[in-house]
Amino acid sequence: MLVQADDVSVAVGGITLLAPASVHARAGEVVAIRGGNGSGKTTLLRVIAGAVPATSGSVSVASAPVDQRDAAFRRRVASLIGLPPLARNLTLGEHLRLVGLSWGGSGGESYTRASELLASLDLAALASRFPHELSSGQTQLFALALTLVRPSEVVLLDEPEQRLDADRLALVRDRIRRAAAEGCAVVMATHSDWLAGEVAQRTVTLSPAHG
Amino acid sequence: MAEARLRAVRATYRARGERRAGDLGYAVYVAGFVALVAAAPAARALLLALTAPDALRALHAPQAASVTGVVAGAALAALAILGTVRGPAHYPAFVAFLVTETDLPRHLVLRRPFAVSTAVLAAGAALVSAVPVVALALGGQIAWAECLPPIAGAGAFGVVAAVVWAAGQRLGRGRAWMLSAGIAAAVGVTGVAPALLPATPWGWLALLHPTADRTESGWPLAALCVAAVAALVASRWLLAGMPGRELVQQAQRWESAASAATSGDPALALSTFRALPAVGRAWNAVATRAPLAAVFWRRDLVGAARTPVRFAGATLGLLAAGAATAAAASLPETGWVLGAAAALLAFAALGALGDGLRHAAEAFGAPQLYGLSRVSLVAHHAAFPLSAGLAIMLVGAGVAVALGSPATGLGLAASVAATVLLARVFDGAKGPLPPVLLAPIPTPVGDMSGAVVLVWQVDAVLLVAIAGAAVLAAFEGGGAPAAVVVAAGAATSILLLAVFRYRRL
Repeated sequence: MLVQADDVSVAVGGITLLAPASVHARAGEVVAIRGGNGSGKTTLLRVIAGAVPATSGSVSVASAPVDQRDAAFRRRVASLIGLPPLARNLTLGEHLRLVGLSWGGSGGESYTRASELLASLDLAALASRFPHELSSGQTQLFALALTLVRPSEVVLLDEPEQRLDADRLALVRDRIRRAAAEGCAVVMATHSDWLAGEVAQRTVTLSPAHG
Repeated sequence: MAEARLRAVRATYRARGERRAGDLGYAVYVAGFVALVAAAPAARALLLALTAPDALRALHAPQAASVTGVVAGAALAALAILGTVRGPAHYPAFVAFLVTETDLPRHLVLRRPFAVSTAVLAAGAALVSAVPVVALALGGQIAWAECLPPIAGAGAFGVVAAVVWAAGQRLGRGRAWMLSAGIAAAVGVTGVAPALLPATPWGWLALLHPTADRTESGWPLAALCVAAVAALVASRWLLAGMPGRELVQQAQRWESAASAATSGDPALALSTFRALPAVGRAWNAVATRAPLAAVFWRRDLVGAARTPVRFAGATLGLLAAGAATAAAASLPETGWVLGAAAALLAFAALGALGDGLRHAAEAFGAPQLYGLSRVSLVAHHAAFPLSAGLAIMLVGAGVAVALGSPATGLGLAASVAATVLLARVFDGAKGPLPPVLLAPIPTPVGDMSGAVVLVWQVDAVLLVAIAGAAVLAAFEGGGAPAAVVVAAGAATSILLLAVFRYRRL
């Protein structure tokens, strides 16, 4: 089991952000996390990403505790939880190549991977644009590309369908399927019934986190 | 009719709920208190420094007039650019929207904020010009009555400057840069050919500076006054053509920046005004066949070059800072003042080369994006600003040495450059305001937590100014060895502070 979260809850100052919930994901599996606004979907992803400590329960990735200070953990987990930091003076293509190189990819691999990702998300024509020249939907697709360009075993996605039209949503579906086919465990919070139905093998529905 | 409508709008706005009767009184109290506690001692210290014999000689030398002209001309060029970011016709965003969406004549609705800005600029120019001439009078170099023409002339020049400022606001980014470049070119021409100075407003101001060989006093002042009146007449046309949407956008940017600054996020406040890349999208910033260190160095170089005006400004600033540091070595008593100013200039200029450092700090707060540790990412992004900044400052210092400054100026410039560059690294990891700094600090003169927050916001700037002054002061007192020791101590301290700060992110 790549992702194993058992009875995880988060409370801050007496306020429950996430009622006890469990999520498990194997390599090559896509798990959808569903629930209403405020049910704690993003919080659960943050816990798995090691950005928020769980108040109770246990979480592990590849049988190791989640710890952002651990280089092996950082290499395993790629996440799209909010917009990643964008460099205003780099083009989209350069962003992707630089991130690829920073993970030890060769020049050729980085170039190929960046080009392939841009093409598959219908962003190839925008490769020489700067981030401020994108629409909100294009920015969302580019954020997904930045998340997927780096090597990983676990992919955490928070509402990847945001601001996308139906055609673009199909591109996201294809990329998620491909990440799973490459062996990644994908855990995805979503409000889209269609996307969850298309890609998820299992669904975890969170109960409201009141009080 | 239009004026009556405008009065009614203003009266309604003045009566809004958020204003308190005591607001103005409190503002006056704070201004008076700051003037008494901070401004007055600073002004006294400045005047004492300027009445030192070597400073008086420099202020009274014939070259001082040329410097006055160049500085005044450069200020005009800078104001034309400033107008594109924050012009003199400035309202709060909602009021700007309110008055520019109506059919009221623009020159009428913008007249009041323009008048206030003009008055502030004219008074500021007069105040700044008063500093050297009062120092000369205190030092016995000129009679007190001789102070009046240059101060009055500076006030009139301030009015002309306000209209150039408004021109920048009306013209918008592209054409304002052309105006600024035109003024800068004219200033350059008068610098090379001083005989042309009497044909320009900055030349008239230069001719009013009380140098030892001054021959003119009457007509340049009259010319400046006539120019001020003509400029005010032209301002009606400028205000009438102000683009309303741009006025609203300017006001919104300033309100966002003010909100970020007052909530303890100066980095966000400054990013509001940072230029976006305009050129060079086809330049290959990320070379895929090079060692990673070279990839990041090139990425930061190309990234900086994609905002070419900002890059050029940074280069000029670093050149000037290097030259000023080297020149400060030849001032036996007041070199530390120039050293501090040069260090501050270098710090400001280096900001344009340090976008990569800012990006690295942003990346710390987000899920892992790059396959590098924090220290490694910062080190990779620090390489370009460190190497380029050092090289450019040394070139500037080399020019100053070639023009007669002592050769030790090169070493001083390198020392100041190293501390300033490390301060940039330190500043890159600022992060959000630590909440503990907001805790009240009761003192007999009130809650001092605001002062602590202010110090936190400008800590790198303070460190840089202190380091620049200390290196030059050590050089004056103990020669090159002392300067090296102080510079090494300052650099090490700032480096440790930077390491501490990056670890806390």
